[in-house]
Amino acid sequence: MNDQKSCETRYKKLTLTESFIKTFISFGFLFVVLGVAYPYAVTYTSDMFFKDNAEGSLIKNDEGKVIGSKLIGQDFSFDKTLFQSRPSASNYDAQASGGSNLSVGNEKQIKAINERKDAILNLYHNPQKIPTDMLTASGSGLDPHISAENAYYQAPYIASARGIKIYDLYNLIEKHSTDYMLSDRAYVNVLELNLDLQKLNKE
Amino acid sequence: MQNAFLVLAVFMLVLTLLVKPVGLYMAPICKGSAPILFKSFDKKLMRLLGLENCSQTWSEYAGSLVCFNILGLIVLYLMQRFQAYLPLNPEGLGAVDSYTAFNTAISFVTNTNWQSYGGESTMGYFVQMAGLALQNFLSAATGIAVAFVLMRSLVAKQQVLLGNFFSDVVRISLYILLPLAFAYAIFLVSQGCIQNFSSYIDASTLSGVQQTIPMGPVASQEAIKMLGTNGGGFFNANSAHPFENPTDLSNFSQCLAIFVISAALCYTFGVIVNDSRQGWTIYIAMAIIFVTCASLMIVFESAQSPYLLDAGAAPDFYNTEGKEARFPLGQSALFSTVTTSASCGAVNNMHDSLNPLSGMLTMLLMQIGEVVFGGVGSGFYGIFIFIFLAVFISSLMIGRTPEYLGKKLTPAQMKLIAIAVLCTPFLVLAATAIACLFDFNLDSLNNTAAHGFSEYLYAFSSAANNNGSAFAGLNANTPFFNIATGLCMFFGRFIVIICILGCAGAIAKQKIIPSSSGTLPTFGLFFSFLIAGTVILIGALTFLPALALGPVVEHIEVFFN
Repeated sequence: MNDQKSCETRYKKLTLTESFIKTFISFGFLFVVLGVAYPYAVTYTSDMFFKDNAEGSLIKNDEGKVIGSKLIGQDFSFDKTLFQSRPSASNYDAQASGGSNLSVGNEKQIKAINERKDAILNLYHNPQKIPTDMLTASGSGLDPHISAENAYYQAPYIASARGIKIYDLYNLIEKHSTDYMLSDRAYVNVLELNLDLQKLNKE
Repeated sequence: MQNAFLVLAVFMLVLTLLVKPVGLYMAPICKGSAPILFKSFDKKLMRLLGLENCSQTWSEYAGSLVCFNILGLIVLYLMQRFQAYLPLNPEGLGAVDSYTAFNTAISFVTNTNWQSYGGESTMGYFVQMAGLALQNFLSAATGIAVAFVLMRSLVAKQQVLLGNFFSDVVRISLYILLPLAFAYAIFLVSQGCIQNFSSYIDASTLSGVQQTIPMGPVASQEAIKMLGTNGGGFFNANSAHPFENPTDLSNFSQCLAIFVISAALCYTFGVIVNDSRQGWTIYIAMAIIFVTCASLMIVFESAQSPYLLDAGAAPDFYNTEGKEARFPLGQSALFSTVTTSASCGAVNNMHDSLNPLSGMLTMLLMQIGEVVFGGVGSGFYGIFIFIFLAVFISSLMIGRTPEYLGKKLTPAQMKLIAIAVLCTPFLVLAATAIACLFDFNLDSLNNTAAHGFSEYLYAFSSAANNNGSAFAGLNANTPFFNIATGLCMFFGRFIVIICILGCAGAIAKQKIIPSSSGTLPTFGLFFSFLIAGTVILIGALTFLPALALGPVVEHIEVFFN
């Protein structure tokens, strides 16, 4: 008991005014350290080690002009002989990221799925089942990837439309495939794949 | 689906391995000093800030906590309103309107991070980093501080002083959150997160159309958003945005980051009470509920709707609507479960588009009070509400005086516990009912019928429990929702905190009774199940009717039509 008492008397009590002052002091101190110094320190350090990533993994063309980011999906529907990105609720507007937020049974969602199905069947005439990511919109609306299955589904049409050997195209997809962690399935970056596809044609 | 379960198994393994080192590291701070590494620095700093050797009673502590948070609230509100005059705003974004600013300020101060705005089109860099991200640190530190006070009170012998709020917050921020966040931010940049202050970049895409790519100090904010279980995204799409969460490894690590501090607090508790079994018992109780829910989530999300299958969707896929191609079933289901178990509320897929039963799981996890690991600090003091209830109920059943670790649970404490346990369900259900009364709210809905009701229910479950995720189809940027969710967040946070601090104050004053053969042992698998059972029972009883009206009806409509 004596122990406890002596332990308590070691501390001084804060008065109300003191508490107010301390509120401002500690808030001000943490504002400077966590609100300002911390983000600058992270920026400085990441610039030292991963400058390219920190600046947005930008891809430039031969003239040095930015044509996009590796991580931000683009709409390729202007040229159907390129690999197509997933449907996007924001039409690949990078300033309005977000998903469709339609529920599973929503009439609009059912209609959208069926429209996409018709468009896919009309274009690709592929007898296989449709990879589901072709039928559904992504969460960010900027999904830079498609599933590997999706790429292989599009490949036969693209090969014939562009007059490329299908095996060259399969190799290209293979080269751009990234395996999922702890899984044997893979996904593909569409912009990088398309840039290589365009080169393939030139050769 | 096997791969998804493999991801879950590896996740639990890594988490369990992290619990002990992080828990040990935090223990000295709970005891009111600094980790060895920072000891001499801490002494100087506390002298500089005038915080050495002061201690407070529970009511002074609570008063300081509320004052500190209200100051944060005012500063954050003003920063948003005067955004146009602040630096680091290359896009020249203007003042945030008053309802949104009010809502956002409460939201970030209460660790909720409910967002009725889209980040990239509303907030400048300075508001993001010095306003929003700062509160990510401070609200997390506040939560941990309350958890520490509770731990101290359980080992205190007839004391009235429980520590000093300001030195607790400074220490927690500087020694726990800051180093972890810094290291983690660098890791995120290595995965592809951006971190710069440039203006938005105009890219001329392959199609020739201009694409304006937003920039900003994302990684620094992302790191603390996860570690502090805040969840407020830099961008509108939150952790589904490729700049916030670029790879599946970054996704896996974000799930870990959300849980690590909350899970480790269990171990810290074991160190403080000098009996690591007590800590592991709580950890296992949480893990039981988490693994069950995560497994169910994987199963529910592996199903594709009949509409997809009719359209010829490949049967070996899963529900991919609202999900990113780089996050397969396991990564998406894991993230959804983690973010709603904890009070994080970041999303890597759009919860509005989850299958109905998965949506129900995310809601239920929030509604039981986010005590399955839970928010940093808030999960720990939240589970104690249920531990005290479990001890109280089971001791009365076997005719003993309810006591936990030698501390008696008196009627006065149980009243506070009852207020804490009833406060958030009351807010959720009452606010949902009020929202349903007004027809003008129908304009906010993105989906109708049962799912429309779910959008309301989700919004208030998320707000009152300080989660912050949403069925984001709901347009919550209306005066009604901004004010209603704002009030839910505020009361859901601070009523519970004050109850807990009051409870801790009363517990600290008691002496410790040596345990006898009549004491109910509060460790071991049996007690873990008792805690988990209490959590599920109370959550399910309270919310089953509401859930039946929303997701259950929707599931039957979609899958048995």
